[in-house]
Amino acid sequence: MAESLAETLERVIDLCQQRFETVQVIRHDVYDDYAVLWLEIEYKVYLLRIREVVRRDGSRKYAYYAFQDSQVVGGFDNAADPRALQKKYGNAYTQHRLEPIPHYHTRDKAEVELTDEIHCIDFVQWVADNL
Amino acid sequence: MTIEMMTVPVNKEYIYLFEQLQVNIEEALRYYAFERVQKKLLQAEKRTQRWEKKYGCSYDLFAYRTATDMAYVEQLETESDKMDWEGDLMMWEVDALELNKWRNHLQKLWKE
Repeated sequence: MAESLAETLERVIDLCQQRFETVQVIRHDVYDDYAVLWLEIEYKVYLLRIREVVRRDGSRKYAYYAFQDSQVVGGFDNAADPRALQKKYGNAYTQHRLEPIPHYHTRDKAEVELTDEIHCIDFVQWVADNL
Repeated sequence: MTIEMMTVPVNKEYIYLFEQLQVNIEEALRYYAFERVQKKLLQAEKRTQRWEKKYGCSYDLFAYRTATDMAYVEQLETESDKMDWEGDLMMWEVDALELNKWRNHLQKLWKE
């Protein structure tokens, strides 16, 4: 049986609560066609901000960021960022402005690198490996 | 205009009480729906207004500019509370969809 929207995000919450001590649920709403999650986690000297929107059609939007003193240490998202779009499509990037594009931001968002789509578990692993 | 009706099981105590109160059940339901829809609309309005205040524009304009204007994005990211604007964008999108949805529901209720 296909997992419901609520179940999908509950799995994310469970994963984070298993891996981290202080997980604050800022927002967790389930609507007819989509569900929304926003978690904030204190981890060592870092703040982890996990946001995700899952839709009934299977599509997802996510933004997983690590901060230290309000500065980005690293972040993964799939928003239509013009820098990422330009990397993929060159000068015609504005024609793809409605397209989600998975990418990674380096420290202070100095650089952007194209990636495959990731899930929260991948971000949690990145945190364990890098922070 | 065709109005679709449904049969719904209801505790007959309520039916009896409504009869005693001379309350039309359909009107009572419509009034309750109005109240609930207005609450949802107010919540969605508050949320979208918060985003509009933070970014100084509508959702549609913000979504357009962040996808097409590199200088705008780089400017946003000079402010520490806007470094992960991508996360704000997806939350705002949901709030904007909810706002439209509840506004449409309210309009339909008004027309009935």
